[in-house]
Amino acid sequence: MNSRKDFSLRTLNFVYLGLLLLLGLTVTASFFPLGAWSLPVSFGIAAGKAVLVGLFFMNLKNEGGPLRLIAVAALLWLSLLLAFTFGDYLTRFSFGVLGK
Amino acid sequence: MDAAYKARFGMWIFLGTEVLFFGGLFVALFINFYLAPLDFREGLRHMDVFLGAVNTFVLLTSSWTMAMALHSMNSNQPQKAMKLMVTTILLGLAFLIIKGTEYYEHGREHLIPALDWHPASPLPKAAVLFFFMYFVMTLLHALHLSIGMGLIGFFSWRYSKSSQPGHLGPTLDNLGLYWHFVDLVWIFLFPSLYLIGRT
Repeated sequence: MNSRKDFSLRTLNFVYLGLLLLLGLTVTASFFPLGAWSLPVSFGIAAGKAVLVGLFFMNLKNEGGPLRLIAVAALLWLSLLLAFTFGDYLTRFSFGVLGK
Repeated sequence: MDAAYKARFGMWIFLGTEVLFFGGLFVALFINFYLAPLDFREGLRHMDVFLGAVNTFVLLTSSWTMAMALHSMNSNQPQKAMKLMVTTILLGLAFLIIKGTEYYEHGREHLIPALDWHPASPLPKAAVLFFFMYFVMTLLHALHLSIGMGLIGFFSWRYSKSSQPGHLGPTLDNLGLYWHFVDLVWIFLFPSLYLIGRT
C-alpha cells in the first residue's frame, strides 16, 4: 500500500492558492453584517479549507479505505459530541420541567 | 502492509483522539457562546482580526511548505526538503511571535482571567469566560505547534547529521500529518475566536 500516489507540485500550489482565496473570503465576509449567517458562513468556509488540507496536504484522497475510515470515525464521534450536547442545551429551557 | 502504511495508520488513530480532545474544548466554547452571546461578542471585539488573519496565512503557508518538503523528499531532493522543513519551522516561529504580541496586548488591557483581570473592567461579566476559553485553546494550540516544530527540527537535524542518511519517508509522512492537523485546529479556531458575531 506504499504505492500511494503523491500529488504534483502544481496540484499542491493550486491547493495553497485555494486556501488563501478561502481565507480572503472569510475575512471579507466578517466585515459584513451577516447576523445569524455569520456562523454558518465562517464555518462553511473553514470546512472548505479543512477538506482541502485533508484531501490534498494530508493525502486522504490517495489513501485506502481504513485510513479514511479513521478520519470519518473521528468526525462521527465529534458530531455525536456536538449533537448530544447541543440537543441538551438548546432544548433545556424550552420545556417546563415536570414537578416544578 | 508495509511499515510506512502502519506508521500512518497509527498517526491517524492518534489524530482521531486529538480531534476529540480539541472538539471538547470547541463544544465548551460554543455552549458558553450560546449561553452569554452578548458578553462573548464583547470579548470577541477585543480580538485583532488583522493579526488573526495574518497568523492564519502564516500557518496555511507552513502547511504548504511542509507538503512540498514531503514531495521533495519523495522525489529524491533531500536538500530541498531540508530547506522546506526549516522554512516550516520558521513559519511556526513567526506564528508564535505574532500570537505573543497579541497576548502582550491582552496583558496591557488587563484581559487575562485570574492573573490580571482588571477589577474595574468595563466588560460584562461573562466576557471573562471568553478570554478563559481563548487562552486555554490558543495556548494548547501553541503547545501543539511547538511540539511539531521541535519534532521537525529534531528529525531534520538527525537526518542531516547521519553518515548514512536513512529513509526519512515514513517519519516525514507522520510529521506532515501532525503539522497539518495543527493547521486544521487553527482553521477552526480563527473563525470561532475572531470572526463569528463580530459585526
